[in-house]
Order: sequence, then C-alpha cells, then structure tokens
Amino acid sequence: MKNPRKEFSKIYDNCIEKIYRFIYFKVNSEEIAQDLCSETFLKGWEVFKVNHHNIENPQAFLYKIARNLVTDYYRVKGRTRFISVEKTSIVDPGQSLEEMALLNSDIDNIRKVLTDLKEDYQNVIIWHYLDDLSISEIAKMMEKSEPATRVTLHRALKSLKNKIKEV
Amino acid sequence: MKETELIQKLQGLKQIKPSKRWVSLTKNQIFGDNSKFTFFPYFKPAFAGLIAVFILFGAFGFAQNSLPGDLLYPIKKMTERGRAFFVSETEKPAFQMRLANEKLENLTKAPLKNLAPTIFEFEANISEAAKNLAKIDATTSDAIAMGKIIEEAKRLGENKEKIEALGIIISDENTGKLYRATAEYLIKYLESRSLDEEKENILKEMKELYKNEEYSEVLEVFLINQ
Repeated sequence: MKNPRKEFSKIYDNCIEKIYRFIYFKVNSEEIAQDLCSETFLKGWEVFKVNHHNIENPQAFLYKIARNLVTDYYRVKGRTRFISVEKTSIVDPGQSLEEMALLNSDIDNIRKVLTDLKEDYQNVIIWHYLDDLSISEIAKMMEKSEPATRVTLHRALKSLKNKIKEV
Repeated sequence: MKETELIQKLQGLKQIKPSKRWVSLTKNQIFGDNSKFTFFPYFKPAFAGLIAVFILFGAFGFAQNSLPGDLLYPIKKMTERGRAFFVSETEKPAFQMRLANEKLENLTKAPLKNLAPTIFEFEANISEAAKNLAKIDATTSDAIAMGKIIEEAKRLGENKEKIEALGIIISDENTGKLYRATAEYLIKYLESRSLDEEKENILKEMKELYKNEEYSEVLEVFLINQ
C-alpha cells in the first residue's frame, strides 16, 4: 500500500513550478501567486490524504483547485481582473539578476500579451507549451473533445500573434 | 513572427519559477501541520517498538523494588527465575538463600508491608535452596562455592534474629531443613579434604552435633573455628 504523504510529496515536487506559474500568469504578483499556490497544495493535500484512491490525475486535480482559487480571489475580494501588465515584472523576484537578464524583450512582450488573453486561450497555451501537457490531458481538464481542444489551441495562438502585432 | 518562433519564445516563459526557499518552506508547512498540533508527536507506529522497550525497561526497573503482593512483583519474580536459569547447579543453593535473605531484609525495613506473601516467598526460597543443596556433591565443591553458601547461611541466621526481634515468628520447618542440608554439606566437604589434627577434632564435634539434630550449631562451630 502506497504512503499518501510520500505520494503527495512527489506530486508536490513535480507540480509546484507549474501550478505557481499558472497562477502567476493570472494574478501577476509574486506574493499573491505564492499565497494561492500554497493554498492550492494545502487544499489538495487535505483531500488527497483521505481520498487519494479516487484521484486519477493529481495534476489536473491541482489545476482545478488553482483555477477555482483564482476565480474566488477575483470574485470574493471584488477585484477586477484587469492587470496592468506594464507595472509587472517578467520574472519572479526570487530569481537572480543573471537569470533575469536571460529573458529578452520579445519574451517579455509575449508574457504581457498572454496575460491579456481570454482565460481559455491562456490556459490552453500555458498547459501545452509551458507545462508540456498533451492535447488529450488538456481536453480532459477543459471537459472538451480532443478536436475541439486542438481548435481552441490554434485559435489561442492566432489570437496571441494578433495581439503581439498590435503591441 | 512565425508560429515556431512564437512557440520557442513562449517556452522561454518556463524561466518563471518560484524561489527554492519558498518551495521548501511551503512543503514543510503543508506536511508539518499534522505533527505541529499533535500532543505526543512521537506516538507513531515507527516508534511503537521503541516505546514498548522503554516501558518494559521502566517496569523492570520499578519491579526490582517491589515486594511480594505488589502489582509489579510478578515481573520481579520473572527476572529472578531468569537469573536462576543462568546460575550453575553448584551456585544455586547460595543464590536461593540470597533471595530468601532479601525477603527478610525487606521485612526488617517495612515489617507490616506485605507480610504474609513475603514470608510465603521466603519459605519457597528456603525450601528450594535446601533441595538444591542436597543435590550437589560436596566432595567436588570448590572453596568459593562453599564460602558463598556459608556466608548466606550466616546472614540468614542474623536476619531471622532481627525479624524475630520485631515480633514476627517464622516457622523453623523449612529453615531447619536448610540448616540440616547445610550441615550435611559441610561435613561431607570437610571429610573429602585432608585435615590437620585440630580440624579433625572440629569435624568430630560437628558430626556429634549433627547426630543430635543440632544443625544450626554445626554451622556455628564451623564459623567459630574458621
């Protein structure tokens, strides 16, 4: 019999960066991303330790919690989802100056534009190109068919391109 | 911008990462919550064996001061039996006599505490010592084994006197048997040794007392002339 604590510890190690990044793109604040991310894993662990047999895809389960927490963050606190991308920094302040220097201005522009995309487009791009999830995994998380997910991804990229041209 | 170029730049965003310190701290907070509020954090299955060993050693420690009739006395008796198992046949009489002496010494410290069960245990030790003493061959015994038996027998006489001075009367039946076995052992022991004239006379005196069933006096004569 697997030890839920050890199992979730591995899940934490594998998913922490992805979930943090996913939240960070939506809130554009290191502090808020950290708060929501730790809350995501805490809630995840509370459920996982008593019900781990019923969780087929722990990563998808954590993304779902993260999405709900971000939605709650904007709804309950009465905040608008508009983010002034000009004021946000591209890299997490926890990173070194050397690492920060590696990011060029093109990437910075993409990040700003990505933040402005509608939620479905943003999610599908992050999951597929940053978190390396397959179309079938994304389809399950979005509760869509695989062809419909491919179409969404195609439209998301097209939208991103158009917005980059506008910048 | 071409699609492949865009995808490459998108993947550059992977560089956004939380700090390692925060990742480690958060992990500890998530998994450390349960133990933080646990009243007894070491009560985990992994420690159960260790705790059992501590409890066992604690119980054994306390049991060594217990008296017959006490809750922990069965543990003390168990350890006594365990010790007796490793004692050689020639040393068993002295060992049982020493246990009997301990019972009497406990009674001199607290005469009213567990009186009946202590006397019962004392009688059992004495009876066992007499049986064991009758079994061993005095002619092959060494001086050390003999010395221990005599020492315990002497102590027994002293302790019995102390107890009787406190008004506690112990039946002479079993102690009488032990003195008889001790006297017999001493006579056989001396008979198997080459003795000078003086010691031959002492032996003769001891045999006379033995014939008259004055067993404790046999021991006294031996001790006086040592």
